[in-house]
Amino acid sequence: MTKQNDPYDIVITGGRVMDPESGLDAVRNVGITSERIDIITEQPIQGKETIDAAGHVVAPGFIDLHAHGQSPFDIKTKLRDGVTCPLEIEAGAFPVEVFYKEREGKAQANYAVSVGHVWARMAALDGVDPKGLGLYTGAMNACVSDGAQWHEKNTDDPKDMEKILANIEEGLKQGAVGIGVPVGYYNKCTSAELEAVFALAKRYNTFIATHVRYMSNIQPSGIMGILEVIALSFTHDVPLLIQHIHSTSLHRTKEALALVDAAQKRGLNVLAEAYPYDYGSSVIGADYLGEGFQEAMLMDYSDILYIKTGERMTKELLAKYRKEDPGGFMMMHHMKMEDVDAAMQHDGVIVGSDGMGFADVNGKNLEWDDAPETGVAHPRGAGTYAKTLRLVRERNYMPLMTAISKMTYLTARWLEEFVPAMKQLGRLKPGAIADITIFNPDTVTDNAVAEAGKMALPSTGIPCVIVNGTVVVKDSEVLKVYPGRAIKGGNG
Amino acid sequence: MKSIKFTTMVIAAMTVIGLLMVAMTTGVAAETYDLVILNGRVMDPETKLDAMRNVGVKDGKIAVITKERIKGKETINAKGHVVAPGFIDMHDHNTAAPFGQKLALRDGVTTPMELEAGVYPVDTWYSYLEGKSQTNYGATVGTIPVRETLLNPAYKTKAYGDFLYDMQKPKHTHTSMKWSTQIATDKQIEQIGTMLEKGLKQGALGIGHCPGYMVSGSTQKESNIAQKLAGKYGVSTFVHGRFSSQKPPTSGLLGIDEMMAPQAIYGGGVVIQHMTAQTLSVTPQALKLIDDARDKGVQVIAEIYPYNFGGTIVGADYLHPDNYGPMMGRDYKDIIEVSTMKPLDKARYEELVKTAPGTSVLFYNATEETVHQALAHPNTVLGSDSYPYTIRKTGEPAIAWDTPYDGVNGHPRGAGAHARFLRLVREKKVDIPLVDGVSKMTYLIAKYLQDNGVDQMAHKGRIQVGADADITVFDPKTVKDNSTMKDGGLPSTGIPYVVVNGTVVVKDSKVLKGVYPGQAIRRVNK
Repeated sequence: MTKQNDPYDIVITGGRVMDPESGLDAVRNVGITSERIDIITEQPIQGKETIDAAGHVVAPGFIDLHAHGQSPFDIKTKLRDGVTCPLEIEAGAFPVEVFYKEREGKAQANYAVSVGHVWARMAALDGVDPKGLGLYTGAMNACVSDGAQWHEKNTDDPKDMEKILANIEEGLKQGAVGIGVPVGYYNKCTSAELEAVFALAKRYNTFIATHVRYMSNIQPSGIMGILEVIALSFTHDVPLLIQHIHSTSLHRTKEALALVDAAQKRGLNVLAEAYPYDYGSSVIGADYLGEGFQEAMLMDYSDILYIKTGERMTKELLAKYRKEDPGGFMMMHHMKMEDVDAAMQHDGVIVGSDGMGFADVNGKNLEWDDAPETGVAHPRGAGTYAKTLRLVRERNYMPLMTAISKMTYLTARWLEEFVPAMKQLGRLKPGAIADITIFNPDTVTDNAVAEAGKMALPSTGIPCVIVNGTVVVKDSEVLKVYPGRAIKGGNG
Repeated sequence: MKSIKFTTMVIAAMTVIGLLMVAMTTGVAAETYDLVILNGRVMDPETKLDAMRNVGVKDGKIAVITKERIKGKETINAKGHVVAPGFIDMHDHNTAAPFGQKLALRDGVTTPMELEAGVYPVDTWYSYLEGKSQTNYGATVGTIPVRETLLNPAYKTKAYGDFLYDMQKPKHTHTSMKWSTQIATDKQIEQIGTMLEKGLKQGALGIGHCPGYMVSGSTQKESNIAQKLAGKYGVSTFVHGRFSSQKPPTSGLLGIDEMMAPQAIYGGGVVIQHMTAQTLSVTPQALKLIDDARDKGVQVIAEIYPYNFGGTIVGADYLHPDNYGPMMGRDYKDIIEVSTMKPLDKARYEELVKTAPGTSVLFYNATEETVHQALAHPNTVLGSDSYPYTIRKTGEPAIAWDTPYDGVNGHPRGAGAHARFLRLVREKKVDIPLVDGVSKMTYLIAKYLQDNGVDQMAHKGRIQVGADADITVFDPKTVKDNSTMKDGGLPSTGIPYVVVNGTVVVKDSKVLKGVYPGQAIRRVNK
């Protein structure tokens, strides 16, 4: 407390400080020195810079383990949604070092990536270099010419398996924070290959984040996909993150949540994630849009929207785009709000956006200063966090502290075992990293909706966001500053 | 006269001295056992005893195992033979059929049990067999009969709850395929749970669950009801996994994951029955999965039958051309109709599925090599999957005790699985020591069941003092199966004696008529 008389770099005064770890929920002043929170006090404090947070909540910066979109435009949009750590954990990257190098010194938010099993397969089986974030480098479409082996081939040949595992190991050594296993997109991967990946995860003391096999109410169901990874997680003692649990479990989401609860009770380290939308988005070539999807997912062609053209699908159009542009993005209305709510509100389920990268209507990547109206993709990439806070206000969705915890502390606490940096994130306490999001609980709202010109509209009611002690969002404007740092896994 | 008197006295005195000498030298020999088995190579897989011993049986239990001479009211000379624990079979659909029991006994099985398909109602089944069983007997409560009872009110059992036998006579019992295809509502799932629990309360040995026959009909929610109950009662599920396939995504491996994860979560055990029939060419990966899970303390064990073809009903989900072709690498002609022993073609398959889905068929599945490797694996046990036989002349199910062995069609495993396994071990096709082979048919099974709620099993699967006198005497040099695909009911040979609870049931390779020493294997709820 000797610093009491020194001016802090930044002080945030008069805000309702909420810390999910300690349960603190009171008006306090927060002093930041350099990149850390220095003090949280009822006493008046002084700073070189002062942020008046009266009437606002001062919360830890939001952590998103499911941010596919990583362009400067995407990150800018995430910051407006209060996210200081938008991490790409589900699909991941390969090579991992490409991802980290690209962002060094140029990141507005903190950044981290898993090594993607899918890209490791692609590099091994197709010989295509995913060049980092394979979702946005055209890698998927580049594989079409050789028959998309990453998607078609299993690893009966042990040499293939060796190559894939070696690629994953390389990614972990380059600092990947976990292994992303979106097996729901390459169903021909055997359970035996998955077992080998789990065994590798154990050797590196890391976790597996997964989009499980199957997206279906009927057999083989999404629940079966969850049981597969739970069996392997149990057997190999590997912590498991089940991403967007409602999106694959659909109308069986409550069953899935009950399974996760029972597994946790039995001592399994398993965490589930959800986003607050009843429609999803991904590549149009996804396995789950194959034959029989109508019955499996209780939706029709017209529930699928091809994002580039805004067309609703017919049988012919879907066949055409799946063939010609399997990596092209779509949105689909495949869930019921009842199931979304069940997942979001469930004790211990964390919030993750699954935000896809925004492009313009022609599919061109957006620049940092392109107008939000030009962004086309699932609105969750812009509004997940503010929407959650709005639901808390409008629908008494859950206690505000619970919502904040699901967006910050619960996530950080789960990750810190493998990602030491996470010990200092997701908390508001002296010594923690000063990632801070300040929002107005009475007005905070998402604005992005699935309508032309509105998909990337930034959230409002979040006037100030601080990353590593630097103000990045001020008066709801994103400043041209780059305080984001690489977060790496324990093997990097 | 004198001399005669003298001689008598001398003889009498010598007799007394002789008796005293015997008593003094052995201590035990004074006792006369009910039955003694002399000079055999006694094999106890738990203690690894494998030596020449005499075995004395009294009051249905093994009373002595000794190098000394012993006497009994009845004597079996086991010279040149192995004296092993009676074989235990977790997978015998003929458990309650006199003809099926007879075949099992000739194959060395003293405790056949219906654990995979299970029965319902459980008490009806047990009551029926009381006092008239040549073998020990036991059953699980099965999701198949429970589903059919609930979903098809027209169904009436004529086989004391033994659904597979009811299925052989659909006109009388009104069985349907609702048990296979109908998805249960939430309310029905609850009712299924209540019925399963009732079965457990009546002493069922666990829960038989066959999603492999209800690929689309059985949800995980329904499975979970069974799996939670298994955890609650500390018993095992006995599973025919959902998929028979060597190709992802719906491979046999996924079917194992699906069944194993809930048991890891809820407790209780899971037996993956006739695993090679589901995992086919990915069997090595499946075995690794099971090894790894067991290392983590999951109660899971794989059961294998020693054949590269299976026997089932033609309506089985996995025989559907969408699966049997691309996922199992087979064709219509690889399915054989049991009553005619003719291979099917597309037309006959479709006709049977439509008109008589319960028709018995044989079908090729895994390769011999895969089966043999799986049998050699330390975490597998043997199970026959003995399936109802059909009388060749009439097409009726073979139930009567005196059905001629050579007059039936059916999968040969019901007559020969155990002797065949012993032969495969002798021929080194399954390259493991004989005692390990015996263990896979006895101790390993008893131990698993004992660890999963069946206390009686602590006294079975062993040749130890105090153990139940279930004993199989076989000649390791000649024991063999004789049943074939064409002549599926020919009994095994080289197994001259089988003892059930101390009573000789097979003598000089003949099953004794009217001898019913079999006892119920039934859980007592604590």
